[in-house]
Amino acid sequence: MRTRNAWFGGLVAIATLSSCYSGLEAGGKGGADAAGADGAGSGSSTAGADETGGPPPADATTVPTSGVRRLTSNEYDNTLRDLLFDDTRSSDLRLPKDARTPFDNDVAAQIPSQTLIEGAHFLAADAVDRLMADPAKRDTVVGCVPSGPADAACFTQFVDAFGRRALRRPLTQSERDEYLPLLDYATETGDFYTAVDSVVRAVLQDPEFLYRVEVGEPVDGEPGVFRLNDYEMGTRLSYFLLGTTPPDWLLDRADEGALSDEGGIREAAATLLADERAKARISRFHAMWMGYEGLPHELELSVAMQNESSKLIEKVVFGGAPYEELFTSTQTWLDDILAQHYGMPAPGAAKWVNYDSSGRAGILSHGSFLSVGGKFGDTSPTQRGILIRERLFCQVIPPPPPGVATDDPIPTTDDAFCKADRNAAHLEENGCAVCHLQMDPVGFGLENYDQAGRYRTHEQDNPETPQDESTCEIAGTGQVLLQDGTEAPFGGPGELGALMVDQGVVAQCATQQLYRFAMGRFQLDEYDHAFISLLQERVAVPGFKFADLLSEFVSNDSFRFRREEV
Amino acid sequence: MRPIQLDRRTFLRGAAGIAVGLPMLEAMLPRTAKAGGATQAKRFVISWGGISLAGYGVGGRVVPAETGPNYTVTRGLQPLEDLGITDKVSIVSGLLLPWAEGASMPPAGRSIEFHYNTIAPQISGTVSGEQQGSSWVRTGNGAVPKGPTADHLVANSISTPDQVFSVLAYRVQPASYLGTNQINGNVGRMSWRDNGGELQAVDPIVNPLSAYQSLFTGFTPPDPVEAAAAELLLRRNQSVLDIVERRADGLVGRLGAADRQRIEQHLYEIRELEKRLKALQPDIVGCELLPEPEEFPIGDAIIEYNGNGMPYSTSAGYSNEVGRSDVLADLIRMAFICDRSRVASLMMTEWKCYMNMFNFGGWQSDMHELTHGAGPEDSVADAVGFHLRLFGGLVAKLRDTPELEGSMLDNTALVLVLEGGWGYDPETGSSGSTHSTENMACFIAGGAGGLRQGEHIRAVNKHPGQVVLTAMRAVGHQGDLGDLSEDLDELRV
Repeated sequence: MRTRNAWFGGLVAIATLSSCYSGLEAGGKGGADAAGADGAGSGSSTAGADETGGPPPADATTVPTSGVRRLTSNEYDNTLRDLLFDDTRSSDLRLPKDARTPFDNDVAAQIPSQTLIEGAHFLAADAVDRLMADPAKRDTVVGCVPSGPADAACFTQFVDAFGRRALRRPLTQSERDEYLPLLDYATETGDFYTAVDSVVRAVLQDPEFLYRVEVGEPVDGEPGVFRLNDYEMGTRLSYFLLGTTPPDWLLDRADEGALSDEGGIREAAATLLADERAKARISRFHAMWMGYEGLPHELELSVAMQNESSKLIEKVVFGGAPYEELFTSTQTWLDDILAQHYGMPAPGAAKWVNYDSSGRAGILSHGSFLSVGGKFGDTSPTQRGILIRERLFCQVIPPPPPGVATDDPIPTTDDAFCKADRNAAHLEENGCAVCHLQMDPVGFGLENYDQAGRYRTHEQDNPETPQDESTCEIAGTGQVLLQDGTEAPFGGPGELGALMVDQGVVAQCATQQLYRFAMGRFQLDEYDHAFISLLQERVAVPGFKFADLLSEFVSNDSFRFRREEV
Repeated sequence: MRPIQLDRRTFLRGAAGIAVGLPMLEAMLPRTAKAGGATQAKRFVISWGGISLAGYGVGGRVVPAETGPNYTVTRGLQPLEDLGITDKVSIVSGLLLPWAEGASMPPAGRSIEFHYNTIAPQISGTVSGEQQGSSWVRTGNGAVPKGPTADHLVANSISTPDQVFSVLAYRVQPASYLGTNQINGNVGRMSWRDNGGELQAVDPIVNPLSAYQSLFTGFTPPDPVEAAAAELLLRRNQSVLDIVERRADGLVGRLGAADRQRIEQHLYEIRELEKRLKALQPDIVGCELLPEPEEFPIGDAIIEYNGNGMPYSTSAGYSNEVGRSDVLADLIRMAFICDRSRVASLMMTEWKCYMNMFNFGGWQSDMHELTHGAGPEDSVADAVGFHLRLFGGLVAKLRDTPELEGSMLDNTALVLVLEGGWGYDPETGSSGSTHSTENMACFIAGGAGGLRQGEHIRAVNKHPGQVVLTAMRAVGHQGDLGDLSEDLDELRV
């Protein structure tokens, strides 16, 4: 049995961080209703380090570092959809583009800028304009019918309700008081909704809306470690599992103080995972992880490919199947477009079909995954090798050393124009074998599938060379270097998937990638690794289910805490 | 009382409906022009293109064979001819961006890896790469500038409190098309500022509508009803931002050090936006609200031609960059007229650009692949020409904007730098490579500070950053550009 340390390195000594706590009082059961005049959902400040507080985590060495995280463009659009019934999804045109590492939420890449602040400003203006232009949606958001332009009661009710949903916690009295003067604009214009418009603008630009702010309460004897309050937990859960703002029922649970213990969190997570939006969220995680979020094909084909993968993810993750089936499934969701593309019989209407003896199995056989890592208008065994080893095996491949040009195709000669020969000759000439042998043999194992995922027995001809590459027969076999130094042979995506399952890679690496996505951290420190190892131990059993991993993740004691970033 | 000034063009249109040559009247002078021929505001634009000149040195398809004025219009320079500005744009060729050898790094040099590594030395005059032991290597963050970029240095030198935008930072190419915006998004940035001793990346605006709304915040529509509505909205927005600012300020005090730093930066940008909201439409003749631009959707990922039966998409990998650029150029021009800013950075394309070149010569390839043999020599010339079409579009607009006795272009310095040249590649040891910073070329335009216009100037083995520095000093920058302190006298009349 491979241990976590064999794959991912051992734990390192845990350093104690100094506290930067600026003190947050817990209010009510959920921790917000006595949040103090400034309100952050968790209290007001008592400056300076404070080592007294609530009970510490069971194991502080597994508490991950986390801080404020900006909503990604995707999360922003989801949030607007759920707050204002706004499906325009226009933030991509306004906000700075989220860097992919490979996920779109790496905190280290999030930089406040004029583009962000103005983008949020104009997005808010656009959103509120659309809301006001649709009285039905507007009235639903407002939640009461004003008796006149200056109806303070209705206005206050709206501020409380909308503020709670948008800022993911109840507003304090002082916060509510901040917004109430905006009612003067309703009086001035004779239009109640002018004030509503102003509140929505203000809230959509609020740092606590644009960022997920976690502060928490200090814990006994663990400087720099804070226990999240129920609202912060609800927000963590909702953005992780749904990619959007907490639904009302989850805020209600937070009100009740029901997100403070493992049982309550497991129950909430189960309800969240039963939400349709969880399917899109988990599919998106896989798409970014495996690199097929954007595909270089005509839209119709790209959508068909992504749909094929999403259906399998949905079936495995939400259908209760062992997660390994994502890599070994002998069935796939096929429509006529994809069937024609793959050269398979058209099913008429999209449905599950068997791969039979085609050699395909699992998601690695999908056109989506096989379309990633092309180069020079063809497949690239090197790029595919890097993709598989870094993303799927969670191994580290160093960048090309200085002196290696990666932008020029390997030249063909009369003696070496087939890809395998070309690569072999090139490696020999340039002494690059040491590095490339870590990558190319993996990619060559998928060579029977072109860069759009179609099966082939021979290479495609390159019209720019005098040789005829279409005479080159593809062996389609490869091997992957395991962490223990042994090489495991495989032929095709089905065998590669089975190999990953056999080696325990799926459970180990999926956990690590899921952690990166959940916490918005690409660069991992010792605390991250400690938490990941903890999860890996729990799920490293044959037949583990992804839903169990998610539940284990969010209900783990360490997930209820944060370590302050220094 | 509003000074009585007449826009020269408006005057001509109103007087006769056709453009005729008339002497400049004193009433047409922009407010920044002082009586008696005193100082006229200068403007500065720096632009970047993620393309190499490739194998086309002197006498090739971009750089003319002869030096001096009236240079031959090569294929790559054709857009300048089409825009009628060959007499305004100068080519500075023969440039060299030096690289490290072992532990030795020349001033404003680069480590030997090519992509991502050539921008910092040109736009900031600082080295690119990080020293690891006895050699310099490219790392993710090592490829970004080590100091503030030319746009911010110039803004610090020539801007006054009247300019609500110290720098207009725009980018034309809105998406990476292939791959992602790597290196933490830095492939799409060309602007970094000094933020209290810490270098701060500045994200460019890529959406023309966002740029438009940003620039014209506080402007008054001519229609009285619309003007009243705009005034009310402005007041409401100010109230809203007051709340946002107070709440952000309150939040800062409750956060730990790292989070506090992020929210403080956020707060700074909110305050800057508040300042801009309070800046009403300048009382300058010719300063007017432009029509709202159309939406420019972002194109799909590019589909590569590979001869394998997949159809080549002629529309993917392109987002009407020309149209976007023209809108952004209009905004820069109006920002200069209105004195809202005197400095702009206009990133045409990302480093290692993957834009579809089908619209520019019918080439079935992305731009980067063309420089690696996916197309003939002409295709790379067209790729360079694409950047000159965008750069030239702004030059032409400034040329057509009257100012004092001439045009706004006379009081502006614009410089376009490119990712690479052609020649020796220290990374591979090959000669004749597109991954080279030998034989680089820059393009300058504008008459500020006596810059030579409409000439081909050879500046053999001079650093392209020195061209940038020359343009900076032409508009009044007194300092250096990173490691670079010597400008190029040969670029001045």
